Amino acid sequence: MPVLEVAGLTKYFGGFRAVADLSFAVEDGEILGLVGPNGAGKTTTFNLITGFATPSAGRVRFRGEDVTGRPPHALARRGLVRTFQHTTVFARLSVEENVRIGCFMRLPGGLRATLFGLSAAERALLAEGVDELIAFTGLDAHRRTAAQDLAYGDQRTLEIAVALGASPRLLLLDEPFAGMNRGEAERCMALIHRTRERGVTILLVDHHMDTLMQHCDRLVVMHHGEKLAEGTPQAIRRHPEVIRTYLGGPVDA
Amino acid sequence: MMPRRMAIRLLLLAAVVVAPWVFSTLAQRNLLVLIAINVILVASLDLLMGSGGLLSLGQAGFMGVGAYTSALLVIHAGVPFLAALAAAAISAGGAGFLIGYPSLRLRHHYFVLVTFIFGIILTLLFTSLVALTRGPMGLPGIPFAAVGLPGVGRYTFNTFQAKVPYYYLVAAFAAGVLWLRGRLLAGRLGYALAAIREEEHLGMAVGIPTHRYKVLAFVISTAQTGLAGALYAHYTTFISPEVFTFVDSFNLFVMNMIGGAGTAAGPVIGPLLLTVVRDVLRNISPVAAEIAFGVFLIAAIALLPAGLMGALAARHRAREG
Repeated sequence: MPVLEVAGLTKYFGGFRAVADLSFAVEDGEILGLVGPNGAGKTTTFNLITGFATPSAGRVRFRGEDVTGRPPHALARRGLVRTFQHTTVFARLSVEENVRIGCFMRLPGGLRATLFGLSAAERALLAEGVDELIAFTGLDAHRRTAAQDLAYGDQRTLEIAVALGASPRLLLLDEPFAGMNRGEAERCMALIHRTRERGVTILLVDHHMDTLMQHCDRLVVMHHGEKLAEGTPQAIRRHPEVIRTYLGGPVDA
Repeated sequence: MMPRRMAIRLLLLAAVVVAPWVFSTLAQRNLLVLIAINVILVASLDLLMGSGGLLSLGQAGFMGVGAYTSALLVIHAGVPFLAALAAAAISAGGAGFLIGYPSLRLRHHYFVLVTFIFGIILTLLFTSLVALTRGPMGLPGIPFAAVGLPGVGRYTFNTFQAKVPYYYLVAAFAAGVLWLRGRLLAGRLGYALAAIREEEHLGMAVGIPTHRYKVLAFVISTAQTGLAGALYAHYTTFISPEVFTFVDSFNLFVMNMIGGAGTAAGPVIGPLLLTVVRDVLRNISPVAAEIAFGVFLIAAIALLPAGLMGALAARHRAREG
C-alpha cells in the first residue's frame, strides 16, 4: 500500500486552476520528486496535501485513510510533516529550542504533566530525542545559536531537524535546495538520503530537474497544474512531453 | 542553578511578607494591595502577550466581568466569597472563550482589534445594564471578603480597618497565578505559545493544534483577570464602569512592556515599578504627574525596548557569552 495517494486533486483560485486533476502515489520508503517550473502548482499541491489549503476537488489518502481537508496538526499527528519553501524556523530561538518545539508531540500532556512537570525519565527521554536529532543533522556546534544567526544552509538543515522532531512517516520538503550553493545542496541531499534510511519516506519539490534526476527514485513532472509525466529518472529523461517542455528538444517549426 | 532560584524565591517571599510592615502607612498598604492585584492582571496578560505574542487590549473588560459577577452574587444571592471568586473566574473565562474562539482564528492585528472593541463593548454594558449594575452610578456596598477558617470561625476581611490580611490573601493568589504560569509555560502550552509567537505555521506543521492552545491561553488569562477583578471589588467595596475602561487595559499593557514581556519577573517588576512611580509623582504634583508619567513611559520604552527584565537578561547573556 502506498504511503500517500493523491487522486483527482484540483484547486481553483477564483477562475485560475492552480492544480488540475492531479493523481499520483508515493510508495513506502522512496524518494519521490515533484518537479516543474515556477508556477506549475507544486507548492499548492503541497499545501493541499498537508492541510494548509483545502482542495476544490479530489482526495488525499495517507496510509489508507482519507485525510482530505484535515488540519495540518492532525496530519502531523498521523505522520505527515512538511517544511516550507521559504526558510521557516523559530528565528529568535536557539537551535536546541527549535528542535525541542519540533518534538512537541513527544511531550506528555495531561493535567499531571502540566501541573507537576515532567518526570525525570520523561525529561531524559525528551532531551535524548533532541540530542539525537541535533547530532543526526550535524548541528551540535550551533546548539545555543539563535536560528536567525545560522548560515543559510544550516537554517535549512534546522528545518529538517525540527520536522523530524514530529517523527514523520512521510516528510514533504518544499524546495530544500533553493538558494543553496553546490556544497550546501550536496550536504542537504546527503541528509535527505540519511533521513530516508531512518524509514522516512520523502516527497521532494524542486524546479531543478537535474538535481532531482540524480537523487530521486521516481519523479512526477508537473506543468500548468497538470501531471505531465511520471516515472523513473531514466524514463523521464526519454519522455517526449518532458523533452519538449523542459529538456530542450528539437524546436517545432 | 536550582539552589539560586530557590534562594531568589525565598527572598521574594520574605519581601512580600515583610513589605506591609516596612511600608506601614495606610496609603502604602493600599498600594501594596493594588500592586498584588496588578501582578495577577499583568501575569495574565503576559501569558498572551509575552509568551504567545497575542496582544489583548480588552483585559479590563474581563476584569469587570469578574468584578460584577462576584459582587452581584454576594450582594443579591449571598453566595460565599470563595464561591463568588470561582464564579468570577468562570464567567470571565467563559466570556474569554466566546470571544477568543472565533477571533483567535483571525490574523494577529484583527485579533487585537477585536479585543479592543470587545473591551469597549463590555464597558458600555456595565454602563447600560442599569437594572443589574446601577450603570454609571456604580455598585456600592459590596461585602468584604469573608472565609470560614477551621477552628477560628468566620473571618471577615474588613479592608477599611485592616489592609494587611487582605494584602496577604491577594498576594497568595498572585503567587498561585505566578506558580501556575511557570508550570504551564514549562509544558505543552509553553511550547505551543512559543511556536505561535515565533512561527505559527511551523508549529502547525509539527503537530501543534495552535488555535486550541491560543483559546486555552486566552481562557486562562481572562479567567485569572476576572478573579483579580473580584478581588478588587471586595477590596474597595465599590465598582463602577470607569474602573474597567480601555485606559485600564492599556495600563496593563504598559506595565507588561515596562516590566519585560515574556520574562519570568516582568509581571512582578512592571506593576511594582509603575504603581510606585505613579504614586510618587502624584504626591509631588497631581497636575504634573500625568505629564511626567508620560515622559517616563516614553523614556522607558526608548531606553529599554525589551522591558527592564528583558534588558537585564540581555546583559546577563552578553556577559556569559
